[in-house]
Amino acid sequence: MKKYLLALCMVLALIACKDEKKQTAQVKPIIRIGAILPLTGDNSTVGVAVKAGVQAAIDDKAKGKLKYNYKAFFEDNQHSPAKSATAANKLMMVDNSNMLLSFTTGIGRVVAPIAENKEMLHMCATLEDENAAPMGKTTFFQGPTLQSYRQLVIKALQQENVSKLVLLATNAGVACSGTEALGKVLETKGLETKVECFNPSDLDFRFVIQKYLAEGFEHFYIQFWPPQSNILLRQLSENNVAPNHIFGSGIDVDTDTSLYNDIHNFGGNSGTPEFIDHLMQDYDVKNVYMAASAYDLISLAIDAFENVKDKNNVDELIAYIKENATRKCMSGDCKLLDNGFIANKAEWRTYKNGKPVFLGD
Amino acid sequence: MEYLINLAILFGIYSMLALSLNLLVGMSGLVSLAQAAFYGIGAYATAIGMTKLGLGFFTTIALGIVVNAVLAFVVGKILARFQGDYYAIVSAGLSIIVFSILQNWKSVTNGPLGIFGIGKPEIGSYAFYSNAAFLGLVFVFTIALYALYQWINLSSFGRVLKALREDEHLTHVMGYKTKHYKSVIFVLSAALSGIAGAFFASYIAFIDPSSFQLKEGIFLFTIIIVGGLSSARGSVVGALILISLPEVLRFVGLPYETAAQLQQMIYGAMLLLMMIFKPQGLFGKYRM
Repeated sequence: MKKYLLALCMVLALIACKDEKKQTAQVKPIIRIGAILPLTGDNSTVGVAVKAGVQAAIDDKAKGKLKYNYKAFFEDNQHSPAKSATAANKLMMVDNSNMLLSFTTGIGRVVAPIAENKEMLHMCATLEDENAAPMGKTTFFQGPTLQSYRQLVIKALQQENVSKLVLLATNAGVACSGTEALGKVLETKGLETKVECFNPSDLDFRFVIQKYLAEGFEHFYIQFWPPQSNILLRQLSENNVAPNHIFGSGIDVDTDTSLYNDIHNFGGNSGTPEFIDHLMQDYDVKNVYMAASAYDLISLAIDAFENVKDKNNVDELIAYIKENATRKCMSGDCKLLDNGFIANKAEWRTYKNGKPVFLGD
Repeated sequence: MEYLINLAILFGIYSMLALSLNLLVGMSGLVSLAQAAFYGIGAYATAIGMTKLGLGFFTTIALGIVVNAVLAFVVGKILARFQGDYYAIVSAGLSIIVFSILQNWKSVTNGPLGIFGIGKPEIGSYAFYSNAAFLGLVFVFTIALYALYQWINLSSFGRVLKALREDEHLTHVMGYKTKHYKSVIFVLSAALSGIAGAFFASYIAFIDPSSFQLKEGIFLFTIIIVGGLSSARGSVVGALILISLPEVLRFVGLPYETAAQLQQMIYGAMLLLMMIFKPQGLFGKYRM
């Protein structure tokens, strides 16, 4: 009996050793990606999409042969600068992240000096305005440029034969200043324009809508975020403004995408139809706004980690990214500008049955 | 460690804010929601002073104190006419007005884009670049404010404020110029919250109006309610709880998909329970 037990023990020990060897061979070092996103509160609909974009990039890259395993750590910042600072510190110091990802220009500006101080790679998915996001030593921003937005809006307005346009914007981020600048550009193109900016707390636009309808304006360009954008869309609808007379910039960020049926929308590129389906089906995302930018940034970062000699050498990572940031990417053509902003094309799209339909870029 | 230092800096900044607000709400019984506005003005004075005017950090603190004191003196004259709920509503109005100015006066505040690249404090050739050094400086100011609070609390001025809190009419009948006392404490509270704003701007290095909305004023109010009204210790402990609790919840092993939402719910539930079982706050000497 003792012999049998001894033999059994030896066999088990051998199996254990074999398994251990196998495990050792399989275990790869982990690269930790710390993401600071608005997962609750303001802008959380977009934060959830960005989160899916990050995870999709990691999962898709993992299908290939990689030197490292990649793991994302997400921290909610409720879109607050102070909470972003604590989240960034937690991700760096407690979770030992190898890089950081943030979302929107303002938050990127809070995280950039923190990452720079620790010589850590930091990437920020942003909405627009390349000038608002100068590069730190270790930071890259990505988004569509204002110029690409404007060209696309002008193209769409000309195609739809619009001659009189009301431009309404919220006074947050670059929305109001960008819309005012757009209004001036459109004036030079021969359009009659009226620009109105609202505070983020304003929720009743009916008086303004009715006033301009009475003055013979039939087309509206709007740049808001939920809940303002949703309320404004409903109030435009109440006043019988046809959906195809509405031109929205970055408004299609809510999970109820049926709101955007037939309107013209301009925003960050949402990627190929296959990518949109991939996110909607595999990650249960209702809206893919900004997911493509995050996907691009994380894919680029993973490529950098895979190709540099020392994953902890931020200079090597930065050099690789600078060399390879100009490329075909999920957001269309990505191009690294002189100030470190990775510009991708803006996109003109509408929605049919709640699904985005590409109209141009 | 660096993460804890970061939390400690925020704790110090919010302790200063809570102490300045407790002077007004706890000691004097004046329910003000305008503290975020003065906090914002202090932060913008530092941001504009350091990035556009090339001033040193400590000069911008003085600038923020002066701007806040002048504004609070003017507004305080109006606010002194009101009592109770009306005082709270008018102060909330002030908070909204200041937010709108920060948001719309683009040539000065850069509007919603905010101001970035705000520097760190320097004394002579020594710069407080490291977070540990910055924390030391924050704590020096926090302790100074704590001492000031206690001094006012024990002074004859503090006793009049407490009398005013208990019965304004009676205090007036006793011969005290209650409007004058209300104005003075409002100015003092506003000026002190500007110091916290200066440290916040320098620490975060970027500010925009979103950090100084009415909801921030409500958050500050929550700190002193949880910690306890009319208590310096309560202000500090309240700040410690409300700053650290959401961070502690980051470490609770919640399901990956819903962690952020669950953290918010747990945070809300804990505050609710605290108010049910300890309605006067942890160290409260006065209940509204």
